[in-house]
Amino acid sequence: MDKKDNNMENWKGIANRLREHEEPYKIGSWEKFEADFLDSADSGSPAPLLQDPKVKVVRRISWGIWSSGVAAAALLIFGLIWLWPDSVSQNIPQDLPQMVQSPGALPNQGESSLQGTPELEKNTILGLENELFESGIAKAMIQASTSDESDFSDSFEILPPLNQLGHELSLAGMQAIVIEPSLSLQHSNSNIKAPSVENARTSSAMAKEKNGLLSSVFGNLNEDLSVSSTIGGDKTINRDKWALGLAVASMMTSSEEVNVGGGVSVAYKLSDRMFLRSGISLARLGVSTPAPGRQGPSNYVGYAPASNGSATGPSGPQGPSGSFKESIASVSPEAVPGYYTRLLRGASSNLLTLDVPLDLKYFVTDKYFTSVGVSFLGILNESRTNHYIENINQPLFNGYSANGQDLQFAMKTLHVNEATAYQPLQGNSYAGYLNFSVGRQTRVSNKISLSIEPFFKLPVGKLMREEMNMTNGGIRIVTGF
Amino acid sequence: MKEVNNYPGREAALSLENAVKYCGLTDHTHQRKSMEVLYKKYYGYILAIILRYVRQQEDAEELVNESFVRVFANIGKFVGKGKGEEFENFFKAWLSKICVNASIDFLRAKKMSLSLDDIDVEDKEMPFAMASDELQVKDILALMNRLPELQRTIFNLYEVEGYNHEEIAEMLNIPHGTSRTYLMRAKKRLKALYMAHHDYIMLGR
Repeated sequence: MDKKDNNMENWKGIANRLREHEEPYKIGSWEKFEADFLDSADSGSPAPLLQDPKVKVVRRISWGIWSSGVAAAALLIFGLIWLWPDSVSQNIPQDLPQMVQSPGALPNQGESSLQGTPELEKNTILGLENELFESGIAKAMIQASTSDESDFSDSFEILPPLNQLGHELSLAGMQAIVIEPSLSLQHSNSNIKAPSVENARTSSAMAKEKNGLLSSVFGNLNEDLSVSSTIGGDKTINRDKWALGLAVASMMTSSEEVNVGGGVSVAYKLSDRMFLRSGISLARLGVSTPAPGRQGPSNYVGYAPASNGSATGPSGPQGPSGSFKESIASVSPEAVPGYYTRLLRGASSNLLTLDVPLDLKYFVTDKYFTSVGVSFLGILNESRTNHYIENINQPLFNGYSANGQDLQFAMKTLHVNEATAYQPLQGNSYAGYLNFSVGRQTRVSNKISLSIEPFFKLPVGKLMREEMNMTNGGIRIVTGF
Repeated sequence: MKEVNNYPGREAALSLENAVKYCGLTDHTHQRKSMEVLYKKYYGYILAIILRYVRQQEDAEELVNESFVRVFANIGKFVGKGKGEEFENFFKAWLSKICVNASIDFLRAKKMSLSLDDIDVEDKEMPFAMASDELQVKDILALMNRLPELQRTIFNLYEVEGYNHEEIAEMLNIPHGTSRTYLMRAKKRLKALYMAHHDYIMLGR
C-alpha cells in the first residue's frame, strides 16, 4: 500500500512537472502566424479571422503540394489522351448541352456547334478558343446555367458545378482529378466536456472547479465552433488524404537486360491502411521473343546460292537442281554445295513504354505494404532487332580432280543481329498488366517518406498473346511527399 | 492585476484581461496587437502541451498555430472569472482544452493512435540525466515518446489533464475498459523503459 501510494505520488509529481513546463518561444513564430493566417490581400481591411469568429478560415496549402498535384493530374490526362485518342473523338456527345451566350461574345457563333441549342439567355459562357469549341471537347466541358437574370454581357464567368463538369469531362473520354484548392476548417469531432477534477492539479482555483463552472465556459465550444481542425474534417481536402510520389524503377525483362524507368505516382487514402494508387511512368523495356523451340513467325528466311556460283563439287552429277536443290538446301545445306541458309532465331525489341497503373495498396503493418492492381500500357516507340543464325557452306579447297581428294565443306555458323524497320508493337496500347508488389515504407522526415518496393508485372489479355514476352519485374523506389 | 508588458518603454502595459477583451474587438489595430501579446506569451505553454501528444517538432509547431486560430476565432466566447492570477488560470485552462482537442484531432487524422502495438519507435539511446535523482521534463518526454500513441494520449489525458476514464473513452471513441487498460500499460511501460536504462527503480523510491 505504501509503495502504491508512493507510486501514485510520483506519478502526480511527474504530471505536475509536465503541467508546469513551458517551451521557449521560437523567434519568428508570430510573424509566420501573422503572415499565414491574419494578413489579407487588401492591406486596409482586416482578415476574415479578425472580422467574424464564425467566418471559416481558408488555410493556405503548400503550393509545392498543389503544383505537384496539378502536374500529376496533367500528366495523367495527357497520358490517357495519348493512349486513346480515338475514343475521345468518339465519345463527344452529339447533342450539345444547353449553351448560354452573351450577345456577340464570340465571332464564330452560329455554326454547327450552336445549332439546335435552346434559347440563349443573357448569361455568359466560358470564353474558349474557337478551335476548342470545334473539337467538341470544349462543348462537353461547358455548361452554364444560372437563374440570375443580371446582364453578364461584358464578362465571362465559370458557372457549372464541379460534379457536372466532371460528368461532362467523362463524356469526352477524359478523366479529371479535381482537387479542391482551398481548405475550410470544420467542426471538430471531439467531444469536449469539462473534466470532473478529482485530484488537485495546481494551486489555482481551476483545480477546485467542478463540471458546472467549466462547462459554462467550454460547454458550447463543441457546438459553436466555426473554426475547427482541418484535419479529419469530412468536407475538406486534407493534404494527408493525398500522397504524391516520384518513382524510379529498375527491372529485368525477358531479354535479361536491366531496364530503368521513372514517373510520378498519386495515392488517395481510402482508409487508414488502404490507398488507391495511380500515376504515370515512362520506361525502357528490352523484350524478346521466347527461346527457340517455340514457333515464331518465321524460322527460315531463305537461302541463296553462293556468290561463286560455279560448280566446285566433285565430278559427276552436279547434284540436285532447280527447286529440288533448293528444298534440299533448306533442310540440309551441307548436301548442296554453295548454298547457305539463314535462320531467324528470334527478335528483340527495345520499347519506350508509358505505363498508367491503378493499384490498391494495403499496409499490412505500419511499415510493410502489399499492392495489387492493373496497368494500362502504351508503346511509344519500338526498335526491333532480328537475330539470325547463318549456316554457310564454305568449300575448303578445290581440286577434287586435281589431287584426287574429296571436296570437303565446312559448315560455318554465324550469329547475326540485324535491325529491322518492322515495328509491329509501336503505337499499340494494352490493358495490359497485372501488378503485384510488396514493399516497405519509411518516413525519412516529417514530409518525406521513402519506400522500396519489389514488383512483378504479368501481361494479360492481348499483351500476353503478343510474340514478345512482356513479363517483367524489378524494384521500385518511391519518394513520397 | 497581472501586467503583460511586451512593449518595454510603454507605460500603459496590456493586461491579460484587456488583451483577451481586445482580441474580440473589430478594431484591427488593437486586435492585432493583443493577438501578438497573447501569442508570444502562451506559445511556449501551448507547445509544451502539444509536445506531450505529438512526437514531431514540426507537427507540434503547426498544431500550435492551429490552436491559436481556434483561440482567436472563439475568444469572444471565453468567459473568465476573477482577476489577475485567477483569470489567467481560467484562460490557461481554456487554452489547454483547445490544444488538447487539436492534438487529438491531429492524431486521429493521422490514424497513429489506433495502433495497439508499438509503432515505429526505434531503439535509441535516450539522453537521461544519469546523475540526477529526479527526471527532467525532457527525460520524461523522451520516455513518453517511446510509448505507443494511444497509451501516451491516455496517460496525458488522465494524469496530466485530469480527465476520468469515461471522459477519455468518449473523447477517443474507445471502450471504457480500454482506457483503464492502456493507462496501466503506459505506466508499466514507462517504468520498464526507465529501468532498462538505469539500475535503480524510479518510482519505487
